[in-house]
Amino acid sequence: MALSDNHQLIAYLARKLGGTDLRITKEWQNMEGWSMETFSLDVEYKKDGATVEQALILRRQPVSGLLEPYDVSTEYRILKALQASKVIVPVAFWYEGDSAVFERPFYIMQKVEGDVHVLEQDPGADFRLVPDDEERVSLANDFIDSLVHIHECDWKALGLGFLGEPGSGKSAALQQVDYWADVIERAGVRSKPLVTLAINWLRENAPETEQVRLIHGDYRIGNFIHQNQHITSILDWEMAHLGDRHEDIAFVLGPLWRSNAPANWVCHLLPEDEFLEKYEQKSGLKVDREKLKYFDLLLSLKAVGIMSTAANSFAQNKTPDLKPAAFGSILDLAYAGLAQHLNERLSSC
Amino acid sequence: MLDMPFSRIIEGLNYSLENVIAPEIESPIAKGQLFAVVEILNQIKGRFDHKFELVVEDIKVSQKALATLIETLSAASVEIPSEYHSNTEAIDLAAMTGEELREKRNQLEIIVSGALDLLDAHRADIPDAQKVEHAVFMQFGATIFRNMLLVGKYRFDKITQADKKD
Repeated sequence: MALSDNHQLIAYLARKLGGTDLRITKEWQNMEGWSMETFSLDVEYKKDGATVEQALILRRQPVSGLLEPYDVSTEYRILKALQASKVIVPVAFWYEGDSAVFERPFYIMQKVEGDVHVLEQDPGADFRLVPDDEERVSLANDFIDSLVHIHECDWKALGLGFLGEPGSGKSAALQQVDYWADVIERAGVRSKPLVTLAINWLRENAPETEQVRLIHGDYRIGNFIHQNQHITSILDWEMAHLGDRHEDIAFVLGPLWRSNAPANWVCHLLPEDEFLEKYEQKSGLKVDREKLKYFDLLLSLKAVGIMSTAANSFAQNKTPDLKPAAFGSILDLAYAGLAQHLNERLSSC
Repeated sequence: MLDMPFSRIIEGLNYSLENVIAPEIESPIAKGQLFAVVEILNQIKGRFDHKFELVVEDIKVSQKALATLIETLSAASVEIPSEYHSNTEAIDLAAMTGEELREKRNQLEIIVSGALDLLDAHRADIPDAQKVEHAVFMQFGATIFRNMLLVGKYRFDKITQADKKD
């Protein structure tokens, strides 16, 4: 059913916007995401005798998928909280948990104008995702600034304690290991010897966290909106949690978002050394290179968790959506990534 | 996911093709072609299975890894469940069906994982525990590399940019 035919949703939006005669004049489902369902809505309604046009984004919990179990209210609460911080995020308007309105819980947020970079699988050796050098330098600057703002934010004062404070010492790393071990257990591949070896190593070698910080969990090119050479919004907070900032830094440095040209730049924006140097300068915090290796392994375990959950979603007939099945069908690549990092760690001691 | 029986994978694909994708297709020609694909998949689902030699290789690797772990745990006087020993014995793999082979592989992986956890629990009593873990890892390494080479070229951008013209 088209959203414009959903009378409950139309009545809901009219009530929330305080308008009458509301119509959805344009709607489409964004295809880029792999997890939460995202709809763009243009609405028109009457308010105080005038006709108002407004563009909205609706993010709905999927039936099943890569990051289950889902609770869309978490992302909504994070966005709400971050509005009082330096982190640039879309304005979150309302959360609705009543499935009678639109089948599953959802929230509505501001539509931020601009574009999102789409990573292509086979773009060619000379491909530049950000061809204009001036724009690239500006985006790289904003990209680091935003990461620093996330890591510097006072999550307690912002009310983000509900994400679960891991505690001091090794707890931040161990909490993530336990979290992803549980995910993998639910996905049915916990008994793979490779997975067991990785989990045991990560538990045995968990590093100390100097200070618990807000972690985005999916910070990379493709997860921000940009316009006029600047980042205007940081998106996709589904995996945000409290933890060790090196986790985000290791993720930024990941191989899947390195450029072809110039070769091997971080998130298609700048060389690795420059990224690390500028992060250290802007944050006043040192990056522990040894810790990054630990988080490389943890992140490859996380990739196994996400892909095996996607595969399990198909295997258990949880959803007729074939996107998780396609994602799960290359689970062997995630195992190969895990094996590569595990080999480095096991052979290094 | 690709460890599943092929018949189950095809049933899942066909369900989505018939119930989710077909209703969205307006062209009767395209819809007819889609149902033809469903029909063909339905007819071949009982005639395909996993490559016998790959599953056999997985079983042999797990047995070898288990033997390594038994040796290490025994040397450290760790009590070993009896099923560990029985699962290193030779198996008449040629007599097993595809489903039985996959079940055996899965069972062995669970046992090897359990043995690795046992080693981890007694780490303090086992000299060079990490070296043993690395040796076990290396035993599985070839199958992990083999599976990686089986992954075809993937074009997820075709999925996420389906609204764009080719």
